[in-house]
Amino acid sequence: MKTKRKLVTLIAAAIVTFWLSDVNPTRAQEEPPLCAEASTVVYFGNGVFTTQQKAVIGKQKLRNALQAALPEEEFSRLRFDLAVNQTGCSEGRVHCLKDLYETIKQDIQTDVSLFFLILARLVPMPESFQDAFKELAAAFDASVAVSNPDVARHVAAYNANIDAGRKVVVVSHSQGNFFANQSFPLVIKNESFGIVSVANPDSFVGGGGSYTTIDEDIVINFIADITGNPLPSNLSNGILILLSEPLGHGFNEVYLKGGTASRGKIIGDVVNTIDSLVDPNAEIGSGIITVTLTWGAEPDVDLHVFEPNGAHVYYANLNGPSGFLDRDDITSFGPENYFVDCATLETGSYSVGVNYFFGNNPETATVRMRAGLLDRTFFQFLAAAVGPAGDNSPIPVAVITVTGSQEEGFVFTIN
Amino acid sequence: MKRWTALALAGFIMALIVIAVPAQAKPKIIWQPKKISDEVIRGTSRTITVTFEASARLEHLTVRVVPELQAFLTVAPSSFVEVTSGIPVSIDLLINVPSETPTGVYDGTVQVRSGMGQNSPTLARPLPIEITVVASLPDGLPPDPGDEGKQTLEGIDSDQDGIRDDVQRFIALEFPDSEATRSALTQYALAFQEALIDADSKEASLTHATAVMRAIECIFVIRTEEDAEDIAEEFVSVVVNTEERLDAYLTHDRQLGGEIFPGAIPGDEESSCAFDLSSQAG
Repeated sequence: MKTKRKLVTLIAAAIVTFWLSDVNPTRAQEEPPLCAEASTVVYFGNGVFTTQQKAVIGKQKLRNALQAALPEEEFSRLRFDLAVNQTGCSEGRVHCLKDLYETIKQDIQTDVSLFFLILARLVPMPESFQDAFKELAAAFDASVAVSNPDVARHVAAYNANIDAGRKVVVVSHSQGNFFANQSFPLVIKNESFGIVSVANPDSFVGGGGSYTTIDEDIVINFIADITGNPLPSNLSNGILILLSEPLGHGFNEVYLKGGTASRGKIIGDVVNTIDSLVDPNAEIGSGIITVTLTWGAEPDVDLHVFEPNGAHVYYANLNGPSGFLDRDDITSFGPENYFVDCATLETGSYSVGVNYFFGNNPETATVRMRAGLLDRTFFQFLAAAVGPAGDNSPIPVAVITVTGSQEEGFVFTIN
Repeated sequence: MKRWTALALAGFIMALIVIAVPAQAKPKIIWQPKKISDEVIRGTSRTITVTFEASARLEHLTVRVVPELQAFLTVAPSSFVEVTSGIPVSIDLLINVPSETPTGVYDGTVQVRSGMGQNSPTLARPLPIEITVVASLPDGLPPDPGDEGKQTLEGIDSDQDGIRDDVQRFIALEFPDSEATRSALTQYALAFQEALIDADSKEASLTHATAVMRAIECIFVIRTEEDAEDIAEEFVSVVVNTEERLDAYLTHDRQLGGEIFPGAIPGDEESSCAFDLSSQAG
């Protein structure tokens, strides 16, 4: 069993391996794709009935539609990430889909496979299923996103991207709009941050962004009847859409379905939003590894990185053989920022820590790390400032491990 | 001039009548799934259940198999006294391939006809059927574990390759003609199985979710958007097929809330595939 798990782990590791050296000889002189800079990051934010796997499909459909809509040069400057929202419909329950299954399982003879085929709209959706879906969706309101730590994690990534000179657009579907709307006022330079809302159950779009709700969306219409909150529908896909998707609500199955009016409008809204956002100045650098520290109103928290070569990079030693601390902040909030270029990446461990240098009250550090195609945000509570005494023993936050080689590709983990 | 105006007005009213009276439109049949593509071994039989919905209430329907498929395909039931609009109706497709049947691909349709007679009209649209008759199963495919394979979260993996036997069989039998699709789904299956087993661990769930994301991106590299979406969705229904697996899957998914998952770099999405795409057919 151990051998098998090891094999599986190796294969799993292999698929998060990314070649820094381009295997295509015709592009050998170009920058490795993973090191290429994006000018805009498009996030997809899911609703509560959307699993991460379904959200990946949504992200891919967004990507495909934008590829078809944009010139190659513009498309190549986009990046597509997922901002996964929580999927618990009620306190202490595992998942909204579990609630849905419990409600209708007698009708489908506890056939779990059938449950997923219905969710995928590959099998017609029984009326009891539709009713349960609507009821559960209506029970979920904006209060769940208020002060939710999930929002803070997403905002840390949005802010770091904007500080690095990238625009950020969030395409949010259904209840994902509650989280995106909560994010908007927390993004520091929100003139470079836009929301494109789809099937919005909320009464507004953060920042006045555009939205698409089709007349045939039975779920939003149901919520509107109960709460009166949702913005009015503003488009029709035609009633034929209801033959294959009776709720008229799915992001993948309805709103981004090929050939629909809604797909065209949403993609147009994304393009227009990108064009309308202010191009942010890059105030911090970014590379194959980027670590960004932010905190609250206390004056000084410091970022420390111990590189694989043994170098300790911090405010008193900004340059390491591998990376560079390009921003040291002593006037509250941050950011402090460390990054490693593709050319100077080393294998081994990059140990990241923080030291609460100066302040009068407890503080919380937010440390966002991006390594290869991994993106994690950690929160670290800091009880009291310790001054320079903490410089040699910062509080550990996480370790970025790099294995592999330039020729065979590098593997990243963050733990 | 007045005459032309009257004619135009009459035409406009006629157009309105046509638009406003959809009941006069021909009733349509919507099948789920939209097509059947299956591989069957000579000398074996199997049953596939499909459903259809009618766009209007219909009486005295017959379900007919075209001659090209009649040698080994029958349907049950094959007639309906009444079908209500919007209510799915189930039909079993019984495939029984005699051992002397030549191997190959057999194309045809199953039609719903209005009326009982031989010449009764066919309602749009028929269900496309493609049956590939093969001489034997692909080499090394484990036996169907049946219900025994549903007794535990891990299931049965008799050849210890990290993939449940039922999932391995699905991949091999559903996609016999596309090596690349089989490789992508194998990649997906490995990550998915680990996600189910490690669902209680947040750290492990994040790692496996990243691997799952790469696998789905890989499927989109290989297949058209519509195909990739259907394949990835159907695959979930194959892997998550018991309540224990449902709980594990949703526990895993719950661990991912609030996290960011970077997508593959545009222009380099082939790197999401954990195998050499250029060496694989299909």
